[in-house]
Amino acid sequence: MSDIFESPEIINLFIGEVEEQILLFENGIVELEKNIDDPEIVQKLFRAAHTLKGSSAAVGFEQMKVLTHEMENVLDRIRNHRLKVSRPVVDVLLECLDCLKALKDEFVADRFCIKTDIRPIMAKLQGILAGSSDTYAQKGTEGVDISRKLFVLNAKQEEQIKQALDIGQNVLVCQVEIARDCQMKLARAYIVRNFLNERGTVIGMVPNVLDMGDEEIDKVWFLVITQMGADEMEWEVRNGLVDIEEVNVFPYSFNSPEIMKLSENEDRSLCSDLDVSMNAKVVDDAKRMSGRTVRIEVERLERMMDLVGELVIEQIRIAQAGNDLHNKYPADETVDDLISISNHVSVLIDELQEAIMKTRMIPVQQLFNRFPRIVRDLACSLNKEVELILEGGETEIDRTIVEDIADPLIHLIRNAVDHGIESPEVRKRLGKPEKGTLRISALPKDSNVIITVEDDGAGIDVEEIKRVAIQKKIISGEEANTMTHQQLIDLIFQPGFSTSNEVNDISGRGVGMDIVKNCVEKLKGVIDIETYAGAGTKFVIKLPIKLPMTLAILKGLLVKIGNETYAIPMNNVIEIVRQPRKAIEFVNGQAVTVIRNKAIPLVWLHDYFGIPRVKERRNILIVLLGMAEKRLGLVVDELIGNQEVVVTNLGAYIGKVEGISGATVLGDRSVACILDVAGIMKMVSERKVKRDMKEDECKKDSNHELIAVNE
Amino acid sequence: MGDFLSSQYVVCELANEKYALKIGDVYEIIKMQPITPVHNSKPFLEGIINLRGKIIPVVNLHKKFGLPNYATTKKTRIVVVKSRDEMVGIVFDKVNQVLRFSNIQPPPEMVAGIDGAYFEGMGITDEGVISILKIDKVLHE
Repeated sequence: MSDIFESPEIINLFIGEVEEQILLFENGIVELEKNIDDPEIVQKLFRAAHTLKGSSAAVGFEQMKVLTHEMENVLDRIRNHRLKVSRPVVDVLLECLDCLKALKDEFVADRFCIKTDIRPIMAKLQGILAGSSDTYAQKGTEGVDISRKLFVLNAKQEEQIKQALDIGQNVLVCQVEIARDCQMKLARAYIVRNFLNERGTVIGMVPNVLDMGDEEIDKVWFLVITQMGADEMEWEVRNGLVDIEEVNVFPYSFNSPEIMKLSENEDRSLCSDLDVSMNAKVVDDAKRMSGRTVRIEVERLERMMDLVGELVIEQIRIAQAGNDLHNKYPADETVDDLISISNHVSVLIDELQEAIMKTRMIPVQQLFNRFPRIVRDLACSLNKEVELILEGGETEIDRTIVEDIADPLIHLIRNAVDHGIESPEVRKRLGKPEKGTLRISALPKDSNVIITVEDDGAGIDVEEIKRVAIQKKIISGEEANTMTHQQLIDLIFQPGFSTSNEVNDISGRGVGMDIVKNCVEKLKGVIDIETYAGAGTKFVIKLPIKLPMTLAILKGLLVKIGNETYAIPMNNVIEIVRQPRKAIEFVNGQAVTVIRNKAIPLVWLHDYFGIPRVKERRNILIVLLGMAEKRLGLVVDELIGNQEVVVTNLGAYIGKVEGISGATVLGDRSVACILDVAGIMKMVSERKVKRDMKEDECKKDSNHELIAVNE
Repeated sequence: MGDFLSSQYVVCELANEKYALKIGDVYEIIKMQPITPVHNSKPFLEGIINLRGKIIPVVNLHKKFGLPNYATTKKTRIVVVKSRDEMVGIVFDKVNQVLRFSNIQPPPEMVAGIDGAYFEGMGITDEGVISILKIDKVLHE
């Protein structure tokens, strides 16, 4: 092993590649289970195993090399139709995968100390290999009908086959690919035929080479009756003949989609071959493309992001200074030059910013790729049938967002399969299809992505939520009666809430939905639940596609509260509504209005900031704020517009101020505070509780819990 | 150099009472400008201003010392001081002059009804005694 393979860069590259291939492999296997006959999937798996073998050998990772080699052997058999894909085979392959993951993790931790024992799994793989021929013997007659289509047999041939099988001979299909650069393909095909005749009796040949020109021949199938086994025959042909590109020998009765396609219409054999060569071309292109991409450590991208972020801020300052100069020296040409240069630089910076953003975007598919396995395993362990539908995988979002949203989504998926989708028996009784559907989609919308996780299961039982919430003292009985349907459903986001009667290792530990909520909140997203008893549950998560360039710049909605100007981060603004004053109702002293069929609590920040409320008008302006699952209507006196604002924190001297996250300098050089929506929501809920406490101080301990929850 | 600097003082007025600031503490003196209030913060924090693109807090010592509040006039100034590596503006009714004290006495327990701990000492001039503000203490305690 040369030194170059010791370098950290090579090792990191290797680990990156292993992770990628493992993921490919994982999805391939799950797909394979669904479409057992798809040769493309097998090919994909084989390639992944092969790549892993190659790269692990290159870094001298012996265990992985040995394991992938054996996996490759098994896949090769499947590929050559000598091994049928069955549940046990898939299970063993998945086990291999877990073993590979374990190996990888150990390699990352300390590559000189690999503890995972690959022997048990090796034994299983070898078991499959050993058993494969037996499988054939047993199932040898099953696929006759299918294979029969390839070779349109006459009565005589059928009789020959029958006799051969009776006396214990093998009937093999021998697929020979003649080398592309071979001069006389027709002659070569005959040589193969004669060669096979020496070792048995060729009773059929497809396509009929006599009817074809020399150029057109490259793949020929022979039907041979022989004493030899498939492996033996393959070895003989491979080593005994020249100008042969590829040989596959498999028992006649075996089912092969490629051959099936052919058999429907013999003339199509050419097309099929064309497809093969086209595929080869695509692979070539892909290879060439991969040579033109570069793997970059994420840290470097982050560093670039930071630098551009600073550049943006400084550019805004240059522009401001330019404007100041222009005001001082209105007739100065140099100042005009400065301003035009500054404008141009700002366009360039915008483009640079966009370009760097793009490098960080990855298709959601990379995240979706993890789901099929999770759903499969879950469904198996719960004895449920689940059809997973993934949509919009091509939607691109920032990689950090993809990473951060993974766990919450997995949690929602687990919930859906565990609590949502019913068992096949129950579903049948309810008149639903036995197989439940779990649909996960990602759709870009403006500068956001809408991710939905939707199941057609039982839906959330609001009465059950009410009961559990009261039992766990999250809410009191009286409160439960005043809460709206939606408010009750939102209770599942409370820490410590779980309606599952029995705790299992999948979900229902009561830590989950609040984590989902926190995560969405952290990503400045919003989450909504729609649920219909008996018809299913739908979680809608709206996230920004891009992270802000730096936390220092945000798109702000400028509003006036009294005569003070405030900026509200656009991320938190769901919509702006004008409502007649009459539409305000009071529920337990809390002003509420209905927006799009949802009761929204209203807040006058005036009261919290000590600003006198402006004379009441007929209509009020409400900025509907959203933060994860929470909604709040902020009553403002005037809308000014939206603009990019540079966030400056208030400094250590002022420190943290409730409801305010920082300040910004506006175009007219005045200063506006930026509202902190999370802080406002907290402030509002806390003060409300305080008022409640004053109202009835006699309430006991349960109230303290209430405070904790509302926080 | 340090000695020289610390021996020069900026004399400002709060509610007709003269106070002195070490010239080394003073970063800049600017005219009064609109101050954006920051609610729910320190009680004597007047708000924030834009000092050439930098946002700095401004405090109201009238409030802090329990003096009658200021009314903005042509003479009102914001004195920007540097304290604990941060710039903070202080509203003064007037900035008078820069001078040296011939002698500095330790502060008494109370200075015109204000806790003596807020002062470095009492500077003696020909015209009388001026109390010297201990900026860190005034701003942070």
